[in-house]
Formats: sequence, structure tokens, C-alpha cells
Amino acid sequence: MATSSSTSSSSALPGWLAALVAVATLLSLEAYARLGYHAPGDMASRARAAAAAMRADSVDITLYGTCLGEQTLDTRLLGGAVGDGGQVHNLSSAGTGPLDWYLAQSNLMDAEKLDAIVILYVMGDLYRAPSPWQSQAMELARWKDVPDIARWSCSTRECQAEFYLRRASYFYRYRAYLGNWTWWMAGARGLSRDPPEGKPPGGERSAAEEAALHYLGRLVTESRAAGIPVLFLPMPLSPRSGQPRSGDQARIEGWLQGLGGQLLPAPRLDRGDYEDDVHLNGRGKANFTFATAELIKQALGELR
Amino acid sequence: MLFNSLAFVAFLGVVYGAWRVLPLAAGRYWLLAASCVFYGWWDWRFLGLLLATATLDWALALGMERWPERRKALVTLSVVSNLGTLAVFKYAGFFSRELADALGLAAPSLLLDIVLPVGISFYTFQAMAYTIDVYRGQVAACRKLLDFLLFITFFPQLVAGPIERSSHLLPQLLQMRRPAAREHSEAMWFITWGYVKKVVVADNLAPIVAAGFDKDSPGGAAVVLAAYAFTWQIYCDFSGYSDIARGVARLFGVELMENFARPFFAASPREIWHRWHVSLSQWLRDYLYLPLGGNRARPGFNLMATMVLGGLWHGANYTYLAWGAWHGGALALGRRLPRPNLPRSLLVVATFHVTCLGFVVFRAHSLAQVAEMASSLSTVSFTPGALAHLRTLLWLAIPVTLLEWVQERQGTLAVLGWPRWAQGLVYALLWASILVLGSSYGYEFIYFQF
Repeated sequence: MATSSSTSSSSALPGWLAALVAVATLLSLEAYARLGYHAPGDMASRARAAAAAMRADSVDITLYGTCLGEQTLDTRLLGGAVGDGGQVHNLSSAGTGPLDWYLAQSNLMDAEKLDAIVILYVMGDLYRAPSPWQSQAMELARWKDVPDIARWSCSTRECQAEFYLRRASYFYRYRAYLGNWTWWMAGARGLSRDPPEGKPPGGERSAAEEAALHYLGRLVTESRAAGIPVLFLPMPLSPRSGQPRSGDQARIEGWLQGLGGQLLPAPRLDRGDYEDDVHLNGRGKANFTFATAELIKQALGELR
Repeated sequence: MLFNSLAFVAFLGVVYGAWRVLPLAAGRYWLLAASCVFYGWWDWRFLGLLLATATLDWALALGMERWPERRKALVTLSVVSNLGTLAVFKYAGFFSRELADALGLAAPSLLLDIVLPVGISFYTFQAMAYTIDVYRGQVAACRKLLDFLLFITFFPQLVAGPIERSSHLLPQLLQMRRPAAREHSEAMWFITWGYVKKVVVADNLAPIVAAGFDKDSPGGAAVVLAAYAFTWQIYCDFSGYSDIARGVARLFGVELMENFARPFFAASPREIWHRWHVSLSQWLRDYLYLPLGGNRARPGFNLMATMVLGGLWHGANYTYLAWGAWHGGALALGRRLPRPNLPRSLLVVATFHVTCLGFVVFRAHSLAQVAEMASSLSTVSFTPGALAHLRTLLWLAIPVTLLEWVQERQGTLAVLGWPRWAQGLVYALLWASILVLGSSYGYEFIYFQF
């Protein structure tokens, strides 16, 4: 048995060189993440493409929401139905919430060219607590946003430092995804777009709805200040599942109206428009699109 | 402050950088200050407890030299104060609850709510060993309080060992020196390998362990996988900590003892304890087993008593007592029976399974859970989830075993004797695995709870 710990020979890699190898490995992973890794979800690239496609002479509307918003509307049809060469840029994306919508709007959109913002929601989406560990927030954030995001998402300095690291390093941001992918390649884990379940790295998840409402409020007030109307359109739920109202919902809707947001009524759909309790079928999608277009046109007309 | 946290990385950078530029004499006190910050990071109030108990031991040891005729009373006072501290913070809740249950009363909430200070079992044992050694005349009492406080609080080994002897660590701290180039190489290896074991192996095994131990009716396959996974997890977690501690200490020119010597290559229960948590097993041998009579009288009883108390050292729970008794029984049996005439490899496998079974008891929440887990073994069927866990376990355990096999044959620092390009490649692979596969969740080290 050899248990000596002092058997290194003179060929040992110098400590500084070993440290350099560690740093070089980190830099290589960073380069890989920046050049060769495509982040799950594409809200940032879609938002950039939308910003580039906006024209001063057309009606441009950005639409924010979650996966349902991504799947439920026929964006091209909606643009045509709005009229005036309307372009609807549907930036709804799975797993996003008010923080992501706010960052996309404030960092990537040109307020001069934008005519309206529509937020497609079910009530829970509006107070989806910012979880920038899993969302696309760091793709959308600029350095100036990070202190505020960190402050609203963490109470410890270590947790806050995480956000600066995530903003600075692509590799650090997508480490969990790369890890999952590696385990999947090894046949030891299912491939998931989401990082593993559990406590977010470095600290606690903000449980309070206040953080989400903070960004929702900023989205409304800053957009209104720039002269852009913000319309809130409830997602249609089937008559079977219903969309119960609660005191909490009334409180939040009242607060949004107080800020200058405009609440649209949920479009009326019937049972034949649904595949199941939640998802629209082809007919429902078309009906919802036309109904939405009508509501938007009406709202924009009133606002003008 | 956790070794596997960004805060520690920043802390180490600052502490090491300043220590390099400070004169060595001042550097010693800089390390003391840094150690206090390191410990106080959890809870500043417990830093007071740590410093107070250490100061008392320092004064008692000096008293033993000044008044030799009273040294027995003084060492008794030291042992009582250290064990008393442990009793209050670690065992009071358990025993008050058990007593209250037996009497059908409600246990006082004051005792149930006592928070366990991190590392208390380690630093009290280290301090107690010092005063006993002074009492025995094996070491001289430390004259300067600040030097002694550094010996107790030295941050690399403060919260989870190794439990150092004053004869080994104190002289190094008193005559601090800059590390040689070779020591920097060794430090980098220990730190790198320690992090791999902790954040790649141990933390990625945690979900497999939880699936077997923390869920109701987990099923036979999950239980079997959890038993193996926990054995690897606790080894890699604890030995990973020890390796990082040794590496960090070596950056400051201090050599800590080897706490783990590849225990899964042990071929007998006795050999396990020459390889597993060596600093504790030596402590128990020198300050408990030998004073009880050692091999001279009632060795079986002495072994059992030592190991049961060793189990109790881990915490107040019947599972730890049972774990200690399991190993005590194995040691006593191994002592009585002749060594089986079998190939060493078979003995290694058998000994590994003795260790595994012991850790099932150790990790279980109660002895009743152990019985439930045993009964679930009647149906072992591997679902796709269990197969994925099996693959994870193999992907993690096999590379560690292979590297440890090399170390077993060529020495702990075998890799540092390889061609430099091969060392560079190994470092790159290990750091890539730390960075990509290292758990993001900052799991605490398991031994922090003891």
C-alpha cells in the first residue's frame, strides 16, 4: 500500500501552470458557449429581429406572453386583420414573465416605431416571480439592469454576485444546460430545456409577487410615458374550465388600470373552438385571432 | 463559508494575496483574522463560543505547566468544559426529547431549538487533544494566546477537520514559511481533485441518495442504488473537503495530515479505520481506546465502546449509535476470526460491502426506516429512471476508482509524476468536469452537520 503524500517528482506541473490550465479550460468553455452554443428559447433573437423589421409607416404591435401566447395566435393573420400594413411581433415565449417582457421592451424596442404593446395573459403570468436562473432575462438585460434585477431577486450578496457573473459569462449562464446535455449524452439523464429542479444556484428564489409586479408596473408606466399604449388581453379558457375571478385578480387589474394599462375583455369562444380544456384547435385559433384583432383595432381607435 | 461557493473563491484570493505580501510574523495574525471571518460568515455569535472555549483551553494548559500538582484537576476541567459544550449544543435536544418521551412530558423547547454551531465536534476534539497532550507531558503549552487561537481556528481545517494534533500543526504555524514550488504543485492537485470529488461526484450522487432515503416506499432498486450512491457520496464529499483543506493549507506552507487513504481498497474492517477519517480514528484510539485498556484487557468491549462513542460523536441519533456498533462488531469479529484465505481483491469487495451496509444505517432517518428499506429489497425492478441513476453512479464511481487505484499503487500524488503534457490534460479534463458537471446548487458538505 502506498499512502505517502510526498511522492511527487520534480516533473510536477508548476502550481501556476496548473492554475493557468484551469483558467484556459474556463476560457475555452466560454468561447464554446459564445460561438457554438444556442441558448434554449429565442426571445432575445426574435426581439432583435422584430425591432429590425419595424417601420415608421406601419402599425407595429409587440405581443408578450408565455407559451400559450406563442401557440394560440396566428401572428400573420393578426397583422393583416389589424390593418394599416399592420405587423404583429409575437415575442411570447415559454417560461418568460414580466421581467423578460420589460427587458425586451426597454432594451430592444424602438419606442418611436411602436404603436402598441399587447400582453396576453392568464392571471398567474402577471405575478410569475422573476427567476432569471431559468428565464431568458440575462440574454435581454444590459449591465445597467443587473443591479435592479439582483436587488429584486436576491437578499444575499452571494446571490446578487451570481447575476453579475451570469451577465458577464455565457458559459456561466448556460452551465446547467451544458451539464444536462453532457449527462444526456452519457445516457444518464433525460434532455430537458430546463435546468434540474431544486434550489436555484447561489441563493433563494424570490417568492414574492411584488418583484414581478414591479417589472410589470415599470413596463406599463415607462411605455405609457413613451406614448405607447399597453393592452392586457386575457387568454381564452374553455367554458368548461372557466376563468374564475378572484379578489386578488380584481386588485391587480385595478392597479394596472391605475397605471394606465388598458384591460381588454376576453374574446368569446365556444366549446367547439377547443381541443381540450386549454388548447385551441385550428378554428379556435382563427376565431381568437380575429377577435383579438377587433379588440386591438377598437382599443387603438379609442386611444387615438 | 463553503469551499464550494463563490464567496470562498474570492475570500481565498484575498487572504492568499495579502499573506504573500505580508511579513511572515504578521501573516500569522492575518490568517487568524481571516479564520475568524471564515467562521463568522455562518454566524458571528458562534465565533464567540469558539474563541471562548479555545481561550479556556489555552489558559488551562498554561496552568498545568505552572501548577503541575493541579494538572489533573485542570485537564478534567478542560475535558468537562469541551464535552459540556458538545453536550449542550449537540446532545441536549436529543436526550431531553428522549427523556420527555419516556416520562410522557413535553420537552422544553429551549433545549429542542438549540442550533448546532458548525464544526463544533471537530474543534472541541482538537482542543481536548491538546490539553490532554499537555497533561501527559507530550507537548509544551503554547505561550501566546493568538498562536493558540490560530491553531484552533486555522480556516482550512476548522469546520470539518482533519482533527490535527498540536504536535503536528502548532509548530508549523509558529514557524510559518513560504511554500516551495513543489508545494504549490501539490496544493493545486489537492484542490482540483478535492473539488472534483465534492462538486462533480458527491453532489451529482445526491439525487440518487435522496431517491432511496428521502422518499416514501422508494422500491428495491432505488434502495440498492441509494446504498451504493451514499457510500460514494459521503466518501467523495468528506475526502473532497479534506483534500481541498490540505491543498489550501499547503498554499500557506502548512501540511495537514492525510485524512483518507483510499478506504475502499481496505481488505478488512480494521484496515478501513486506518484509511477512513484517519484523524478521528487516531483520536479515538489515543484518547479513548487505549485509556480504556486497548488490546490489553477486554479488547472486544473496548472496541465496541470506542466505536459506539465514535458513532455518537457524529450526532445524537440511534442510527449513529447503530452505525458505531456495526463497525465495533465488525472490528471485534475481525479480531477473533482468522484472516480468510481469499484473494485480496475479494476481501476488498467484501469489506466495501460491510462499509456500504454500515452507511445505510448511518444515512437512514431511523432504525425503522432501515427495516423498511430491507423489506423493499424483495422486489428489485429497474425502471428507466433507476437505470439512468445506475448509469450516473457508474459514470461517477468508475473514474474515481480508477484514479484511486493508480494512487494506491503509485502514491497520492502519482499524477504529479506523469509527463507534464499528461498532467496538463488531466487538469483540463478535471476542471472541465468541475465547471460543466459541478452541481450549481452549492450543497453543504455532509460533515458540516457533525
